Amino acid sequence: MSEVPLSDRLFAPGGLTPMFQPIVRTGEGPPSIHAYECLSRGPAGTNLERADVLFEYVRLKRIEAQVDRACIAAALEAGSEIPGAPPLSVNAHAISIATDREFAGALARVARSYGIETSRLTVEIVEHSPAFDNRPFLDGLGQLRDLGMAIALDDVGLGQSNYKMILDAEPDYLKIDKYFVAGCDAEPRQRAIIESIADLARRFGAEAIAEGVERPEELAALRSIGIELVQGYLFARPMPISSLVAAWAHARRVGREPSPLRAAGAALGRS
Amino acid sequence: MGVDAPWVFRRSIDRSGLADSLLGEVPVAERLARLLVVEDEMFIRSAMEDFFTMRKYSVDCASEWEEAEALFAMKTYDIVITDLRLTGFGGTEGLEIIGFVRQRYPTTKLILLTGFGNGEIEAEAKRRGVDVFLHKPISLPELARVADSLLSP
Repeated sequence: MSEVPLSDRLFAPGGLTPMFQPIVRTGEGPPSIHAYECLSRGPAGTNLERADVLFEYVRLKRIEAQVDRACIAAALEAGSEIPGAPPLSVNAHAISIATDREFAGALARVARSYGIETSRLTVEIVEHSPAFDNRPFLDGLGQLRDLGMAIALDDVGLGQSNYKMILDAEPDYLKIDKYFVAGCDAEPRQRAIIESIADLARRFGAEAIAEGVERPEELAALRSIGIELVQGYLFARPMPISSLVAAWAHARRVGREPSPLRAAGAALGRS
Repeated sequence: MGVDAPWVFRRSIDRSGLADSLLGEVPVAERLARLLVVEDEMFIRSAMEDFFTMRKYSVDCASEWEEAEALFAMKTYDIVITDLRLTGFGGTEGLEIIGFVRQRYPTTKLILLTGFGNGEIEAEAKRRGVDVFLHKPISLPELARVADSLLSP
């Protein structure tokens, strides 16, 4: 009996499961949903069910462009069911944008096929390849912008995601990784890095988003730095579309705020 | 694709987390030994997983070398047992795994299994840092004895 290759299972129906995690705005007013980041899980019961293993595998296989397209298609299909048509943030490897000349057009076609305006979309750039042709990458970014999409840089300060990328990509958002956020309330050196990224964001006309926020103390530290956009288990874990829709329907039925916003309000002492 | 290809040296973001780092400092004798089995034959892989799990190993399995390397994004292993051929087409992917692990995880023990090995392959495996080179067929109890002895303090 022959086994279906793992990479083929990724592209089979149901091979990729989209998950959604809210990005919460915690400004002066009541907390609100800024957007949902669309995340992906690989085939259930395989090692690729874990996102970190899935994307390391994808990079080793050098199938970033195909998998990015497949993840985005699955995410937008499911994301079209989220009530209220909120903004959605999808992930793409920089090398996908640099090498897949049809990436922006394909993304736009998929979005429209699910009734999603491209102006609702942010593309989060994940950079792992040490070198790729910059010109087509910047052209690809330009096409995404022309379609009304925003650009975010993921994992700023980690790995290959560096100052050059900030200069080249002119992002609308800089995402600060959990590596810097976890325990930042107790560690001044982490806060110094976060402040530096937040300051960079301001100078470039962008906004910082802190990922991996798990504790109210971390949220308070981030707020004291002036970061309003936050994401993490403190508010909600990534969830499949069925759970998200059910949770929102329940909140509406009982006349309460959805749980991520209640969690944010409680953490900010506003509940 | 040789181990000297640039991507091998690409720095991966370590998301394994503090818990795994701390676990790595606990002596193997005081916890389950973490074993990665890399084998493309599903039945052999399953048999090895079941056998070593019964022997109180914590076992992960991979069918391809990319899958095996990707698992290191999640955690580290005390020992890796890999087949030489992972494609069924005469490849030597097991050598890639040996080189990858030895460069990044010097304390991980490495066993290479092959039914096709020759002196040249064995010499190359040793050059890349394999601890034990074994010819198939080999019984699971015999393989376990080799693994146990590599992990014994």
